[in-house]
Amino acid sequence: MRKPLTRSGLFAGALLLAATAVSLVPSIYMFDISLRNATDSFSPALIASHVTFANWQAILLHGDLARFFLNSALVSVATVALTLVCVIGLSYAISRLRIKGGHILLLLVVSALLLPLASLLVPIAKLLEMLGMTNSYFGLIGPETAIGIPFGTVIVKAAMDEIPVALEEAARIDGAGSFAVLLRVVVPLVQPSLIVVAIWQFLYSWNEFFLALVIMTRDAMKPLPLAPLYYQGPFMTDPGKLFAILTLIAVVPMLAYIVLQRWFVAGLMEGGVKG
Amino acid sequence: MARRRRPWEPWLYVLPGLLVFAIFIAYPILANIVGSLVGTHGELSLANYRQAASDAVFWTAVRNSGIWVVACVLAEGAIGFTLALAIELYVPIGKVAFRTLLFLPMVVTPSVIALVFSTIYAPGYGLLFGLFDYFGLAGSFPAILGDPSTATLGVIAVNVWQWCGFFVLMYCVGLAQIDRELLAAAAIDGAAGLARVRYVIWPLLWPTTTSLVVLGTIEALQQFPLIFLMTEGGPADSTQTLATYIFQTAFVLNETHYASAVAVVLFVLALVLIVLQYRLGRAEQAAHA
Amino acid sequence: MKLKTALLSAGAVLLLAAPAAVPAAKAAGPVTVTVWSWTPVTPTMNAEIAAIEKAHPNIVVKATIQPHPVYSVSLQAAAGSGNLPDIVGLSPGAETQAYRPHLINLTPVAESLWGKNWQSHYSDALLTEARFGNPAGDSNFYALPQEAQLNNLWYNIPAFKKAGIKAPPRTLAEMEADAAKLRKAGYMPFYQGAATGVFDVWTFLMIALQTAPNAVLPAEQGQAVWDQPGMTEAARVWQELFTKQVVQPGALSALQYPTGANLFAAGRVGMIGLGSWWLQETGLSQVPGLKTMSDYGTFSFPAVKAGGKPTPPFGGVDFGWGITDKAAASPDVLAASKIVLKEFISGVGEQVALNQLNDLPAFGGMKPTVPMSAHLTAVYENYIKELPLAHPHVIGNPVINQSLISGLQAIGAGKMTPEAAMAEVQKTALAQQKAH
Repeated sequence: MRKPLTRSGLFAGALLLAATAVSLVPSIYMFDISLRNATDSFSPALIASHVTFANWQAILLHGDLARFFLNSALVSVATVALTLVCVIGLSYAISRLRIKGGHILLLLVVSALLLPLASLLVPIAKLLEMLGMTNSYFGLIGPETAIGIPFGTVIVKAAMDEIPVALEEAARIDGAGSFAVLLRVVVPLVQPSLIVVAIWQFLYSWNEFFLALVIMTRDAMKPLPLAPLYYQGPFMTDPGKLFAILTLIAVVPMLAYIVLQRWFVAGLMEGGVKG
Repeated sequence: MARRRRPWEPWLYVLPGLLVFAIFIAYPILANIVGSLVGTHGELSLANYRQAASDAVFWTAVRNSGIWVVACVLAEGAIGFTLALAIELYVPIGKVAFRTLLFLPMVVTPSVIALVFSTIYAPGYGLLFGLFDYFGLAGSFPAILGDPSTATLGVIAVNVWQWCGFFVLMYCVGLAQIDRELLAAAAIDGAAGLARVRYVIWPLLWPTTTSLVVLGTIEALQQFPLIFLMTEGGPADSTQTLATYIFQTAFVLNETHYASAVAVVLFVLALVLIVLQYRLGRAEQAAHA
Repeated sequence: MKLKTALLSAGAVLLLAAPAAVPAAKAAGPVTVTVWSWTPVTPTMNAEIAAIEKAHPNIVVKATIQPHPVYSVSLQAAAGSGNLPDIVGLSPGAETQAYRPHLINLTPVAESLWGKNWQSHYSDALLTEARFGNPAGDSNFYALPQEAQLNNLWYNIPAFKKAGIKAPPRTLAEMEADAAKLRKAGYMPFYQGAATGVFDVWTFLMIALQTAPNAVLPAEQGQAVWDQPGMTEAARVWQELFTKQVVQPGALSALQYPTGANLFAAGRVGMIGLGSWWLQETGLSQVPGLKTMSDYGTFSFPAVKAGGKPTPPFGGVDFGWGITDKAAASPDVLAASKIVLKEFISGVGEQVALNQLNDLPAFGGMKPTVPMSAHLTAVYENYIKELPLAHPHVIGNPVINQSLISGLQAIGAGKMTPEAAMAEVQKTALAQQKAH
């Protein structure tokens, strides 16, 4: 051990262990219920007395979760990509190209910073219906991107403001146009802030439920957050199977995060969030 | 120089963002404002706002949305800050493990979380009941989600459970960017250490805090699935927020114009909050400077 | 397992019911008919479809079954965008009325399918409820019932034995005493998933049928009669269920489905408000007691006053089907939709559903052809006997319905007196009358 074990070190360790336990217990409990038969499902114990794998067998054979995962991944990745394009464009024009009326533009965008999707849901649903885009991926990607633009623009514009003019000028003297400057000079310099925006936007899109509930009414288009409802079925009398499904839905992104967290955190550490 | 030759060029860059923004934010806001001014017989009127003013459920929703923002930001901020300090400054081993495990609830979709916590809270057979039972307190087990005075806090607690890990991670990132020597100096046992946390680290983390306050507010106002799936806004509308109430008025009760009026109120509330936070952020920064 | 059972029974049914099938459609290629609903459960629906497609090789049925809260949102979004399927599952009252502009008049369809006297196949109660909420002067049918239901209370026979109770309660006083015994024996006494609004309304209406028998129907049809003394009295009985701990602790946070049903099936509950559709669990369940229903018995909501009578038969349409204007746009699809409708209601589809004891047949003369235990047969026969007498069980106006749910929950939580809650519902009903 590099550091000597201090009293506060011990206290911090105990605190963190307790916090981690609280954060993990619901998932353990969920997994545990998936191992119970119908009669044991309603026991307050954390660990079941009789373990059965029948639920898992049944749901793995069922196997139509892939479609939900695929839809979610597609929408989330596309939303992140489109958000980055929009946010980089807006920030670059306002911060570096000093577009006319840039202040007003920024004010307009930032005014929607805390705007919840709920307040826009009804008109968005009607608009998408009019455009024939209910049950289309863009019906989720478009609104989710829009919701992400204000925060993204605040973060990325702040990062771009800090780039010294000299760097840009040097590239321009070499004959680079504004697009080349953006790609070669500006984007690499603000990359950490882009990572922050991408992560935030991915988490938001991955967990979005409200819009999907209203827009995706066709089975094949539903994203993951709607999957539990689908299996909860009002007449389902098999808590074990339901919880096996829930565990599967939860554990895939958990494993993905554990594998990817190193790069994720490294990206964050490089830039961090600047208010 | 290129700029001068092609004055329309910057507009090319804002086009995608502006387009998406105009279609999915500006238009819906305008549509809401117009829709909210339509009366029951298609006439122009303030009837929907008058209805809201005298609608007890609407006021419950406003109050609950306020509670959500304040409680989430405070709880997630406080827990996140404390745990991040413990990870980065005090605990000798397992930094990465703690940070990673604490973040895991963030990637679980809220509809799963809602079903799991409904079972945990359930009187008579849930996990929490098991804990009370173990200590011989089964008789005084509270039906958290069944009591209008505790149901909202019960759902907020679930949200806090999910989001703490995000706050921990962001504060860890903030701490990692502070000069190591300063941190080492602050990581001293006892009162002197705590004082340094207050007077050295807290001000240095202020940019992280302001960002997290904004993100926490967004996330609290956005919350819908936990409430929708755990309480459906009940019992007796005690857990309605503006988000769930918009859903109920628009999609259950078919009162679209009234839903628009509630949405406009939520929009105004969000605007007020952002101005307020901006002002407070400025003031606090000035105080630290 | 469920799916396999369903398919097996579907096969069995085909052998039995094949002669009853409607002659196949004339269209050249196969015609696809899309169906959306929240019920029956997916395995039953799939079995119904298999039977229908077998009988009509030219018809392909594509069905989507979703939980009701999701289903209602899907319908609404689809109706606005012209994305409705050809056939939609509908509850009577508010739901049917909400989509009436998108539905075709089924009266001539019914005449062509079952002849001029087709109404004689349905009981009066079902005919009334199927048209609940129609505008004055409109006696058309926009949805035709496939299955009917009776709402009643079920009890767990072994639990009652263990608690030392001989028979289900006949009066409220007995119910309260039995609840105490059940609690003592470690059971949830009377399970009310009070977070599920529709079950609050049903329990309340069962009580109100005793205390305000003449006000219930007008109230269901949107009249402002909620301030009548009998209604307040019913609200007071509802309150008593909570204050005397007849309902389980934390009832206001509990869901009737799936939680209540699961707990009842797991043997943790003494009494619960369900209905005839609970018989279905015999077909789907792996729980031995449920498979034979020998552990479960039915009774009516007990008499709230000493010397009074228990609640009379209460129920009506479980679900029905409407044909949308989208189907009507294509003659082939419309023709195929009519055939599917007929098979759902009086043909091979309903036979499959009945043999899984999905619920009671709405169409006269249909009966399950699977062997049933004596106990199951007795319960079933009793339902069939009571069905024509059923008192409607649906509140037509969604805003009044929501206001009643809020009021009942507030009473249960002790935040409102029965008088205040009913006054609030009355206020809502008056406002709705003024608006329409």
